[in-house]
Amino acid sequence: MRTSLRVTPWVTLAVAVVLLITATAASLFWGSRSLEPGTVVSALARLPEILLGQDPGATADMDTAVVLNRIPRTITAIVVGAALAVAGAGMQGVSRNPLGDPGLLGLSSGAAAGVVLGLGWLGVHTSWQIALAALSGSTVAAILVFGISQIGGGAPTPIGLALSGAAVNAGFVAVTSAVVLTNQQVLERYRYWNVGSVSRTEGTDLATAAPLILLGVLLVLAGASGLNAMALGDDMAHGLGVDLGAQRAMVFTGVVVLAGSATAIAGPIAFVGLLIPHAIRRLVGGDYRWIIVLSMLLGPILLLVADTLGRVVAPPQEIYVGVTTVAIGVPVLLLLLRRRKGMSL
Amino acid sequence: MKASAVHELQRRQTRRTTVVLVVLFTAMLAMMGIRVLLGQYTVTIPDFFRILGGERIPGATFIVMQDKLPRALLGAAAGAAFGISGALFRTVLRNPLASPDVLGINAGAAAGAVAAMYFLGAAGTGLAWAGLAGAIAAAMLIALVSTSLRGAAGTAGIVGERFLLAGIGVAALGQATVVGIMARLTTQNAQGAAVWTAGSLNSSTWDRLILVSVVLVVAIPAAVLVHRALQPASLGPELAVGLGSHPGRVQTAALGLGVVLAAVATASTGPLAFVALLSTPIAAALRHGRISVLASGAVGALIVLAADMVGAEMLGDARLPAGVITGAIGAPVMLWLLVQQRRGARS
Repeated sequence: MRTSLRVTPWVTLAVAVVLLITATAASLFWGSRSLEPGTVVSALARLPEILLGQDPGATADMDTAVVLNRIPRTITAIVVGAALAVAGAGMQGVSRNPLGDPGLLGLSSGAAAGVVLGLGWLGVHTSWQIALAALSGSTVAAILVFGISQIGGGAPTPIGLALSGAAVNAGFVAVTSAVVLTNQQVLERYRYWNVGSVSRTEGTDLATAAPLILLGVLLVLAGASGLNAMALGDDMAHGLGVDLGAQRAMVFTGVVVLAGSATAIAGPIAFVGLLIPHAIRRLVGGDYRWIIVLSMLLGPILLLVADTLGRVVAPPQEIYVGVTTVAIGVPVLLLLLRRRKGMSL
Repeated sequence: MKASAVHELQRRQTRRTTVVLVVLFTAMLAMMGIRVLLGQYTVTIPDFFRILGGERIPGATFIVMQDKLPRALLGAAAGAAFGISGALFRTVLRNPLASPDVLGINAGAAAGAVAAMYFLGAAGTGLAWAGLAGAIAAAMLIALVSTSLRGAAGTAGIVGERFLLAGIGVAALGQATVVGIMARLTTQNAQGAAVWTAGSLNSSTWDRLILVSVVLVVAIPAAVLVHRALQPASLGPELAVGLGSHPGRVQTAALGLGVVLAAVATASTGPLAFVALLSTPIAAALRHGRISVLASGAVGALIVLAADMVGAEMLGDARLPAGVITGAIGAPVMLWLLVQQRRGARS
């Protein structure tokens, strides 16, 4: 790791806050429909009255409606980005594996299979039922991937974990396609849900997911010092008096809750959880307390930028954020893996 | 050991190889027979030969000549192509998980087909050609990325690992393209795209069969020859060069051949998940761990025929594409392979 890149965490935090504000503004001001900045500002200025119901005519105006549409989208990107980045950090810590990412390790496709099975067989339809189905799916996937990687003893290699993720992924994809191919209605809902996007979330979905995500972040954050101890190795952590089992279980639960609820509201989005903790580790080093706090800021930035890019690249078409994150993520992943030294935690 | 004993051992091994191959090919032919004659619409053996002789039996002639027979033949041909491709990939990359379906070739084909469906309105044979283009594009991208990775990492990392990493990356890109486009298709096209990307024998036509057969006629002898030429390379690069072999060139040829086979098979049936991955270790297990091109091909054909039989005939009203069945079988086997690999690395 190049030490010249290291900066103090506080500086990074300040820069991240500024960047987050900029990215939020960009997400509000730019879109597939280009608006004058003044229009956006005036629409935002009317926001309190609109929310209180004192401005009934507001949505009739096309430009104001567009701005109002961008607000939940921006909030979703922030919430989901934070959830995914923290989930990735927690997963990388628990598995001591740099390839920890909810998408890469099959948690997202587990959630997808859960949603499809719920839609097709159990008749779920409300947003909290879908969230529950996604959570159960991602839990099963997580248990499978990590359970299998433990067989034979010792910590799994990064590539071994990625491949067992790919296998679990493929198994869930087979289950999912078996359901969607025999049920036209489920296919219709699934194919929109399956492309990660922050633009279709409604207020009620957000209200369901936000407390869950908060809980997940708190669980992972509570295990941060445990993760720091684990990074030294199991024996060392034992010597420091850390209850490894309890800490692991706590972080693991947090990760599954985060990945499941983020996937439930935005669909599967890969690479955010992988890239953000890596980037932070490069900048401030391996202290998980900082990695998790900064993930909560940098994850939203990546997702906001990816979403805004997807909106302005080919207007009036929009490219879904689930596609843009992969297009950004794959080259960066290959670069990271190219330096074998950078892979060790 | 005396020379005569060595000879005896070699002779026994050759005999075993022949026996395994004969058994596998007989099983393959039997499976094709079952696929054509049995199922929800059965045909008697005399009727089948009368149909082949050109006699027209109302109903039966159409079903056999337009559906069952091309379906069984294409299933066998595509399965064999996947199996041979898997054997070549595995021998060169020396990793049981390095197969064209794990490494983005299938995902590239699916992305090509779905993109052609959306942007060009392609259907039928157009999809097959687009799938072929997508598979070859994916292979070129993997080659490009893995060579550029070599440039940067120096001698670190073996061929297999670099190729795997690049392949996993390309697979993710292909997957994202498929998912992104799927959400934009019309309802009717989405159904078609879902079936195509799962991989099935539903659109088996004589044209496609001819294309795959022509490729196989050339590729099977070539694959056997290339595979034999690869043997010195398995002793390690220094020894191989010392024995007068050119490992680099032979390995490139083998991978290229493997890509062509996988691409053509995918174009004709869609990306049948895991056939290439599964057939090689199964065939190798029958031969005490030695990889054989022909045996892998026969096992691949058996897997596809059986999966199609199960998906199309044995699930009652729910007709599932063969690719869903192979995917459902393949995931646990792949995990088992991973565990085996870890055990092997440890001992």
